[in-house]
Amino acid sequence: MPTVTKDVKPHKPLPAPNTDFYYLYETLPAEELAIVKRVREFMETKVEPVITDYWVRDEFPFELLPAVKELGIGGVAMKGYGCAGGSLALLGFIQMEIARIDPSFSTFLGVHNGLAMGSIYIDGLD
Amino acid sequence: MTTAKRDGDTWILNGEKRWIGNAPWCDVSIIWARDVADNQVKGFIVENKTTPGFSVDKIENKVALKVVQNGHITLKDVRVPEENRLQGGNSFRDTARVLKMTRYAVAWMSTGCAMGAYEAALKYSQERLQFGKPIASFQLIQDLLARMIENITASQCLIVRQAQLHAEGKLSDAHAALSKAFCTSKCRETVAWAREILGGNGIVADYKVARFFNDCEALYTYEGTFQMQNLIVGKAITGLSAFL
Repeated sequence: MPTVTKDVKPHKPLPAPNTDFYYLYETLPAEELAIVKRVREFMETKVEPVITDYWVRDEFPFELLPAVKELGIGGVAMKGYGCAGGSLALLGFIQMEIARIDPSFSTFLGVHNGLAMGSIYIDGLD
Repeated sequence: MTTAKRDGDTWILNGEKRWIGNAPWCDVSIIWARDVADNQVKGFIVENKTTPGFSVDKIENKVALKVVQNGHITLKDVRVPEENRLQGGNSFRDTARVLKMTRYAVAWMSTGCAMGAYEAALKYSQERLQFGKPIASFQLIQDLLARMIENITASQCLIVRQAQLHAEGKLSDAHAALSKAFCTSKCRETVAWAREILGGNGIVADYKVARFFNDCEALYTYEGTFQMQNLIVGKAITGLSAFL
């Protein structure tokens, strides 16, 4: 009597998490999308491996600041004065990328770029 | 309340500021103070470490945004030269121009916070086995995951449009307030569902979701609370101010 076997479908790999369900990153021009990808790589490789430990200890990772400077996002969306420039959409995508790994880190940059530099940029005069 | 009093070519600042991010270690702060002469809010650049009468106490034992160092600033007869006053900041309306942009940014940040929690929860649910199957294959888990990506996608559509409005010169205080209120409240929902999916591991920092869960509480509240944003939106849609 033949053995009855049930066809078993081989497991296909599960999709990686995708938070760009409506392809909104494609609304950025190529040069700005490249900056966002650079920020994502920095956050995933430099910040994510260490940040939970800092979070638990209530400490700030000062040793990451030179690498943040290298990213060249200081004063993003501000024109002149040595600022990074770019669109306000770029600023938004960068802040979203950073918060995706660590909301504390995006807040630190938001205070620096937005509240401090932004106040001078918006309400200061030459 | 922090006050500013003109004295010749200098200003004298007195008062306190709480929850100032980066304040325990930064070199320069922007201090907003009400001019006792005209009752208008003015902005000043103050050097933290060299200005007599300026002191900062670090706020300890936070449970959210624990990496950020927040300070409680005390100003006692702090003298600031007139050249350090922001010449374009002469009223609360000028301050609001800054707040509009920071609220714009917090809408993006809270969406990023939700994305981080969702990605961690989805990955966990694909790997965590129960009854021999990944919990991601269960209907109730998929319902939560779908609700999460719906929140995230709706928030992303809103903030991308917000950026377009700015590029078109149409971004108003109410637009930024609505984005901040909506995205932070949807983030709060999303991180809570992420924590739920992780079960007990959702309250262990090593699994990341607990960090997003706690941090969202600060995003929901800072740069103007949820209710404050809704009063700005409420004024825009009714034509009536409910501010006292």
